[in-house]
Amino acid sequence: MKEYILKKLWGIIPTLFGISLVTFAMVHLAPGDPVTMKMGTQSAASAISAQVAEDLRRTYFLNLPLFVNTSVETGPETAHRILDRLLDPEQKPAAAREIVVRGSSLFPYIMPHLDKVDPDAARSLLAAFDKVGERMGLGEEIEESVDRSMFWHRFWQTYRLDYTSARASRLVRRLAQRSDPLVEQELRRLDTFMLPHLMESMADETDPGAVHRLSLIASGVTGRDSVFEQNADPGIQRKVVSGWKDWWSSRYADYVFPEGTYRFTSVITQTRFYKWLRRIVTLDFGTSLRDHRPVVEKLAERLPVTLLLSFVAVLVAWGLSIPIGVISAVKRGTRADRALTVFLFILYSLPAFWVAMIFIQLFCGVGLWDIFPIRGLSSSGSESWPLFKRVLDTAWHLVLPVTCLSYVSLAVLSRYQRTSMLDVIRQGYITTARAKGLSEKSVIFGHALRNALIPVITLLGLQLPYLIGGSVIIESIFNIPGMGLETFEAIRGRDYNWIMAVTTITAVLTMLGIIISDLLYAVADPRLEPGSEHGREY
Amino acid sequence: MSELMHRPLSMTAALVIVAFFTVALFADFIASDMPIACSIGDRFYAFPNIVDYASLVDYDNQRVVDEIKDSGGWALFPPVPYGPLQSKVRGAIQWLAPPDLNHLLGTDDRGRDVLARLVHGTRISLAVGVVAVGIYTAIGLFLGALAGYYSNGRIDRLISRLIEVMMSFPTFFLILAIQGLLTSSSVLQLMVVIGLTRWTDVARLVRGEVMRIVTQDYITAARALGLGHAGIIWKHVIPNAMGPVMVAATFGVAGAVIIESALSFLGFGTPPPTASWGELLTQAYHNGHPWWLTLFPGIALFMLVTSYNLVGEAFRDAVDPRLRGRSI
Repeated sequence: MKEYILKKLWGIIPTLFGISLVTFAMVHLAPGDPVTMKMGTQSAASAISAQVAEDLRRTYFLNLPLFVNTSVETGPETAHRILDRLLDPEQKPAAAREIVVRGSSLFPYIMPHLDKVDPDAARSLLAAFDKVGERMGLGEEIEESVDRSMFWHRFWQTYRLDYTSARASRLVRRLAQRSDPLVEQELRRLDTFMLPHLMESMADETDPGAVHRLSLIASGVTGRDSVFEQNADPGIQRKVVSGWKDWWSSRYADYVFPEGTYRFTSVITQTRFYKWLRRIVTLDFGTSLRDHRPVVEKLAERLPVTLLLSFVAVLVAWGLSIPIGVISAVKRGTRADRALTVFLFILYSLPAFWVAMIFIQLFCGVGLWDIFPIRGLSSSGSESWPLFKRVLDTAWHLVLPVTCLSYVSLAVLSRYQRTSMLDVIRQGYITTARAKGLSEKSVIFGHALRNALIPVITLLGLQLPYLIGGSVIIESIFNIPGMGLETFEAIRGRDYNWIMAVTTITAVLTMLGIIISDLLYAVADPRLEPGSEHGREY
Repeated sequence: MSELMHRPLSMTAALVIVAFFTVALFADFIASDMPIACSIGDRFYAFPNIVDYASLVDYDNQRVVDEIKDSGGWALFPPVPYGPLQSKVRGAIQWLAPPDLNHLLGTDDRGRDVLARLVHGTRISLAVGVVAVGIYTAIGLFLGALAGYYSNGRIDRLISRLIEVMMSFPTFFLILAIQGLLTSSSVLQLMVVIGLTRWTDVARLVRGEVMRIVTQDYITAARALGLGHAGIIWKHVIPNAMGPVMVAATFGVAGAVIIESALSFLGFGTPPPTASWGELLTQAYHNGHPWWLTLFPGIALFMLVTSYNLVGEAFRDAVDPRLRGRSI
């Protein structure tokens, strides 16, 4: 028994891995990558610039290989490659651009080669350095210098020791604490070298002033235009911070060179699949592409609505199916039993979305009566109502959606309850109880029902997939702002981050539901042999 | 089959299914804007409703009638003289017209005859239901038989894990997401997507069934006779596991029909302008809920689904009397 439970729990890990693999495959094997799709939906034949497209590609890590990265470069290797490419007239502009982007993080590796490069390449190299220098606040000094090569040589001789992690991290911390022009200047001087520390600090920062100062510096150094204005509201602050987080997670390989063990792990970590796995494990699903808010934040807002709906639906299904099942088992073969059977059969065959439309037709003012509201979860203006009235209002709104969501479960569970009850009633101990002279009532409720409930209760976890699938349709029809409706909109708007997040989360929830129901069943019925199937039927 | 005879309700359901298939097969003879046969002037056309005649391009029911009036001849129209895609009906477009003698079930938001679209939508529902279930039953049979035959071996562990992973995805949700992510859309693709995502139940069923069958004496006998693994699986194991599979497949068609209509309702199923029941319901939803657009496709859907469920129930009782009245 213990072995069985442990085996089940241990199985979660490979299953989780499989789930992540399937969601990953879903997005990456679909024809056309997210970027071309995104651009395809834009009007006027891709008015998007190459830069924007590149940014989008990076957001999805499309610049990385799928599973194994065999082209991880160390600092010296990168420097060599860039210098080689500077010699080729065709690749020169791209190489120069790369130097500007990488900035000071490249200095330790490229400075030693400064005197040795071919004069033509050196010109482009120094031109690129000019731009970096300007960014660092060295513009005037560069202007005044006679020989630029000499200037950079001397600069690196003098300030090389300033480029240390400890110093960068100290400066960033100081700037986060208070505004200080000198510190700012020093940070600008450190250029891209201090970005890892800056990003780390910004990710944890809550103080609006600090976020403003840090994002200002980050913008200056990277050229990514996203600054948090100090007086803007907290929502924007979160948006800016998570935007930078996303940006950094897709770009840091430009600024941090793999060294030591990191170099070997990069073979795995610098791949799309690893990045995706990491997102799942850290529950960081990036930002929604439709409104640029963090997916997790939106989930926190939408999930409770869907959970409320599902919870009430489960409650209703359970509350009704147990008595229905018991009645039809106790009165088996009678007219009442047969009528219930037919009724449940009809319920089972009715498509929920059609029932929802019939309800709207009947009760929502477009056809016959005007009893229930047609959309949403609360009336307009209900924010100012007293709590009791608001609860009542929401309950009123819930009636139709919950009915649509619960009746299929109701039909299935009632039948299970009936079968389970019949199984128990045939058992010897029930006959014994009757022979003892117990009243029929106490036999049914005291002995039979208690045991007949076990298999039905274990089905709880298995209702989840239906509720999740149903919520998409029902929330869309009744316009309820839950996860289902948002997912429907996300699919229409190709919001990949949201789709991937929700697919993964629902799969994990369903998996947990199945495991819990398996374990409950194993605990409730010790006759179950470890590992055997227990005839679950859908 | 004899089981069906003893149950009038299931028998009726089987007949309803046959009727739906007949409608699907002869959709063009039931609803088409071209006549089944006609003679215009001195030329005779056989089956212009299913054959494209070069000289009848751009013809519709109105034009045929006009030409006959001008140059003589006759035409035998189907009972519903409208095509599923035809907007202009007898010269004028009538948007969202309620049922009348011209349009027995009214028209939709583009003036197309609802009955004609219902008749042609039957094709989609049945085709998607049957083909998708065929695909996933084949996959489930294959993987389930492998896993069950080599139970507790490496193959079984791998397949069982795969089943566990796929089971974790709420299927409707997964199908919806995949349909949304794919750029193009076609009925065939819809069948394949449903087929590739819903095979787990069949595979689990077959696996359990095969594990039971393998311990039977006749398998030992077959082995003693020197039959290879493939031969045993193909000749003895699978035929004996087919009963429960057919039951699951019958219920499965009902499920797939609902999924198709729900997807089309949400706009991710059968691509327009192809007629499908779910698409008619979408129109009802977006055009102020006219009752004829809500009611008729739903009734068709309900009848088909119920019939399949009823036949499935009868099948199950026939295959395994122990399960009689067990679930729905």
